[in-house]
Order: sequence, then C-alpha cells, then structure tokens
Amino acid sequence: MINQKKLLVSHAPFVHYGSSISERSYNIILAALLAVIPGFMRYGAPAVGVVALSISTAIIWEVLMNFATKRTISVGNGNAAVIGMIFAMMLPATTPWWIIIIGTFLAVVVGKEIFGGIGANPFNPVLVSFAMIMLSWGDLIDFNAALIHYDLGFNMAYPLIAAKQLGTMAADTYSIRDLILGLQSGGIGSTFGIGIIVGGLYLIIRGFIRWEISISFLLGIFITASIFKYVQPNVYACPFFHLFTGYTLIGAFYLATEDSSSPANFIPMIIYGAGCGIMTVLIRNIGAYVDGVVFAVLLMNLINPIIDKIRPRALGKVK
Amino acid sequence: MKKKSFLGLQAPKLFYETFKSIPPNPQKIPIPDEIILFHEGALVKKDNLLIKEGEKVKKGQKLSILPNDNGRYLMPPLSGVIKVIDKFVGNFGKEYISIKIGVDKEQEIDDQFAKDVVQINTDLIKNNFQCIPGKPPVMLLDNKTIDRIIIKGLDSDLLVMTNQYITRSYTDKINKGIEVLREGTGINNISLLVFKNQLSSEYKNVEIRQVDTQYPSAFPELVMKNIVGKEVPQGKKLEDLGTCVLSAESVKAIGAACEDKTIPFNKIVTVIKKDGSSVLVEAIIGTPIKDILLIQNIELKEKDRIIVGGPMTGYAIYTDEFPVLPDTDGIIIQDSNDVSLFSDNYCINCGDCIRVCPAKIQVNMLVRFLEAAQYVDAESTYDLQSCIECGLCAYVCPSKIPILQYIKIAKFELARTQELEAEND
Repeated sequence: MINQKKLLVSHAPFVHYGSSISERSYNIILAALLAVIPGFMRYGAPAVGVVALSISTAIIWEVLMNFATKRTISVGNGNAAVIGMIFAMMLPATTPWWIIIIGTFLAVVVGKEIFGGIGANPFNPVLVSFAMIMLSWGDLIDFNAALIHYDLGFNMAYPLIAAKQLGTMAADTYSIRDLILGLQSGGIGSTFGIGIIVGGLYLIIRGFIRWEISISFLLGIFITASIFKYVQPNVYACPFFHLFTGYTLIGAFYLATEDSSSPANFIPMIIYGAGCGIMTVLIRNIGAYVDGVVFAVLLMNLINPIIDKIRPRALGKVK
Repeated sequence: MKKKSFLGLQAPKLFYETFKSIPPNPQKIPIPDEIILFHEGALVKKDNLLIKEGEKVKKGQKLSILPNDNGRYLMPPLSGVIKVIDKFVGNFGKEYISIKIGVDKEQEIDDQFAKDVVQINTDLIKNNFQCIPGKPPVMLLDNKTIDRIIIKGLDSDLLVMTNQYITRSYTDKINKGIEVLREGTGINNISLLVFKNQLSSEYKNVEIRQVDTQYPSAFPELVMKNIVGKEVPQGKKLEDLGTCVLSAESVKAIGAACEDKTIPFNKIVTVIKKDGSSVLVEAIIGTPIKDILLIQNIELKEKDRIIVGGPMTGYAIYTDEFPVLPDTDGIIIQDSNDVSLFSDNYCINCGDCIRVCPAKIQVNMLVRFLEAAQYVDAESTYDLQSCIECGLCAYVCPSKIPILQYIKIAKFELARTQELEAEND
C-alpha cells in the first residue's frame, strides 16, 4: 500500500444541499437594498454615508473580536454586514458618525460576539444596540429633531410621535397610501413599505426567513390595534396606521426573524410572532415609548428559549 | 443529487431511485487472484487464532476464527491458501481480523452444506448462512421472540438499487428463500417491502408492503412506524419488537443455496461512477474494489473519495484494496471536485434540520449539547436515541456542521460508558 493514492476520508453524508450561511446573509442584504435604495434617493449622500459606515464598522468590530478571541476570521459569512445593514436601516440619515461606531460596537461585540458569535446570541444584536442607543442618546435619533432640516414635500412629523402626542386626529392626517409609499419621515430603510414587503416576501419564498414569524407578527399588530380602535375609536389610531409606520415592517421581516433569537418550531414561531405584534401595539398605545417594536422583540427574544420547548414528540419517545 | 432550488419555502425532499423496467444484467467481475475477508473481533495475538497463515481453506468451509466466538464463523467464498492475517480498524475503532487468501486455480468445494441441506431447520440456516451475500442476521432467527420477518426489496440509501434489482429479477429464488425461511424458522408473518407501484404479481405467497419513495421512508424504524404501525421506542431495536429485517439479496441467496445445493457467494453491487451514472456488477465476496474499478474503467485520482454504501449513510474508505463485503450494496466513486466538506461553523439556529428530520428531533438544540460532549444530557433532554441516522440534517445544514458524525460519536460513547459501567458493577 506504499504507492497508494491518497483518498479523502470523511463522514456521511457525502452530499450537501448547497445552502450556506453566506448565501443567507447576502440574500438578506440584497432584499434589504429594496428598502435602502429609496432611502438613499430621499435623503441623499448622508444616508449613503450612514449605511456604508455602519456596515464597514460592523465588519471591522467582528474582525477585531476574531483577533482578540483568537478565532478564525468569520466576517466572510456576511453576518456582521447584515447587522450593519439592518442597524443603519433603522437610523435617521443625520445620525452622527460616532453613534454609528458605538452602535455597531454594541451590536457586534456586546450583542453577538461576547455570547460566542453567530448563533449564540440570545437577543437580536441590532436591537440590543438600538435599545442602548435609544436610551442613551435618544435625542439624536429622535426623527422629528434629526430630520428638521429636511423638507421632502410631505408631512415631516414622525407619525408615531404625532399619534402619541396628538391622538387619532393627527394619525388620520396620514393617508395609508402615503405611508406605504414611504411618504413619511423615519429611518433610512424603514419607511418605504413596499420595498420592505417585497424584500421580505423574497426572503420568505427563498426560505431564508420564516413566514410563520412574519405573518403572525403582522396579524398580532393588526388584531391588537383593531381591538384598541374598536374600544376607543377616538383615542387610538387605526390598525393600518400601525402596520405601515415606525419599525413595524422592518420588525416583521428583518428583526423578529433573526435566526438565533427566534424559535424554530411551528407553534412557538406563531406564539413568538404574535407576541411581538401584541407587545408592539401595547407599548405604542399605553406604554411610554412611541415605537414598541424594539422592546417588544427584545422581550420576546427573552422568552424564546422557553416557548421553543413546545415541540413535537420525537420518534419512539415514551411519555 | 438534488441541489438547492431557487424556492425554499418547503423542506427539501429527496427521492429514491426507482426503475420502471429491469436494468441490464450485472457485469461479471472475474475471479481475483487474492481476496480479503473481514471477521469481526480484535486480533490480540496471532497464536490465539484457530487459523494459521499458510493454511489451506475450501470454498464454503466453516472456519472458526476466535475461541469463544458465540457461534460466529467465517466462510471463504473461494478455495485457496491463507496468506496474511492482519488487523483492520474500522469506524469508531471497531476491530476486524482481515484475512487475505491467495485464490486457487482449481476450486475445491466443501461438501458439508450439500449433506446438511436435506433437512431444512433453524440449524441449517444458522450454520450456513452467516456469510452469504446480504449478510442476514441469522443469529436473530434462532431467537424465539422473533415473530415477524421483513424482507427489504429495496435499499435504505439513495442511488443504490441492488436489492430493488434482485427483487425484480430473481423472483423464483426469493420465493424459494421465503419457503425455506418459513420451514426453517416456523415464522409465518413474512412481508416483502417494495416501493410504491413497483411490483405486484410475481410474489403470491408473501404479503407485499409498499413504502413511499421519499427518503428515508425505507429505513426500518420508519417502516415499523408507518407500515407495521408499531413505533420502536428510544434506544430499542427492531428485534426487541420481535421483528427481523433481511435483505432481498440474502433471501435470494438462501433460496439459491437450497435449490442448487451449494452456497452462492456472488454479490451484486451498484457502482456509482464519478459522473453520477450507476451500473450493476456481480463480484465474489472479498474482491478488492480496485478490481471493479479496473473493469469499469474508473480512474482514481488523488483526493477522490470511495464510499461504501450510499451517499447519506455510507462510509468512506482510505484504500481501494478494501474488499466487497457481504453487505456492500453500493460503491460510490466521488470526484475530488464534487466532494462537499464540513466546516467548524457554529449552529445558526435556522431550524432547517428540524423541518427535515423524520424523527422530529430538535437537532438545533441537540447539536449544542453534542458539540460540548454532553452526551447524557443530549440523550435525556433532546432525544439522541430517537435518531435513525438518515443524515438529512447534515445534508441541509447551512453551517455545514457534521451533525451525523456528532450523533454517531455520542451514541458510541454512551454505549461504551454503559459497557464499562456494567463491567464495574
């Protein structure tokens, strides 16, 4: 056997479906572009700067953490870029550069890497970071203040603040059609509803995110908001207003569906999605914050490990 | 093999190879100059063995190899001289005694079987059919608790079609084999397993059971659940439920042996070439795989892979001198360019494995315990022992985690610890 050719020996299975982490990441970025590019067109060069800085710093933080923890360089799987992209989508175009750098640090390092990297984070890294930024420098990412110098030809008051402070009268001044078309102030990639929905449907059809979470999230919002509207129609905004304002759509398709912090079984996914939706409307309507998505999803992330224990009986398991 | 399609809403489905018309006869591989046989067991010292190098053996002669071998024996498929006795270590450190035999020009056949075959009973089956093609678990048939025999007229793994071909082509021999089994064991509950819409009329005296063509529905545990209606409890085997599974090839060999009064040692093997095309060959048990490659004009290059078995459950071997064993149904030659590698990525919790798992195991959680070598927890909390080892989880995993390997190591380690604990008690 001395002149033997060296054969490759490994373990079954010897074939692979062809899916990969990077494929998932790059498709999510691609889908997100549908919402981000209209943002670029609306807010111009500053928006491009925010997105570029956010993605690049997210990648740099991950590389630095790879060096610090002496692990293989993992930025190739695109997960850091996805975090940077989604974080930037939620920010106003005028965000100061240092907030972005701190934000991506909080997302990639605090939100993900210190838990062990991809797949190990208990919370959505983007939301961990965004919640901290919101609590620390809320004024700088307050849309009414941040976008004050922009006049884009539509009502530049942030719809959720208007609805919160001025009630249903203010909410009714926004037409649903305008909201869907993105004629509202907000984050770079979170206002153009059609783009987010099309991108989200693309990801669902390709199997990169789960329809169970997205649909139950939206239904949760719709049903809860309908109940509020039915009980006190002159105090609370209509369910469609809740669906197309703030971070609802980006939450349904990009935030709640993050793999690591969301359940993987059917019934838990429905509960989780619906829970996110219900909490969002509760926070918006009776809580202190104008947009409930960030805290609603974080809260459901927290109970994800418990609800994901609802699972089918395994083959041959004796009860 | 199926690759990822553009649409991914559903879990991927793999289907067994089925054929409408019977494929051409298998190509016969000439008798080799040397054959290699494997006998399960550890080779501590050559002096302890009941055979010696240089000894002459006859075709079909019953050879005892180790003292206290619990009734196990080896039967050389060709007569010749024992050249080398060596040890061979397989997957998970499983030890074998490998015996190389220089084949005689003139074959000498042992006549014991011809004398025994006049009376068909359990002893005849137990004493003669342990090493025939298909390697039937004849020791189980001796067990009085077995009351059902399932004959697999299909192969569990993808691309392999050895048993399917045999079921279609050797009706008479299999019918005879079923008769022998009935008479010899007294078990009347015998059923033949085939794919849906594959065959109907040729088998009259046996119950035909049809399984779906979607992988892995031909796995014994799923057959038990879906066809027989009994679920195999975690950690138990089919024989605990009184069921014994035989391959169609072994039943054919039993039938042929009793009909011709001589034990057959010709094994039919599906060879899957580098381009994915498959061809059937007929080789004597013990023939080195390189002889088959030579006749099939398959060129082996550095870093190619030879897989014994199917693409999902087989095992890769490191040398082409590895022989055709009694239970080798498929040989796959995979080009180095087609080799898919595993990675050291972490689980990203996408849940694709859960959606594809036929045993409904929470693979995403299980793999976390397995990576940390927490096998006891994996068994008690996340149903490790429910796994039927079909490999679908590792097939779809975007992280390319070697999940099946982890599962097999875990099961192996748990069994080993249990053995040690039993010894200490």
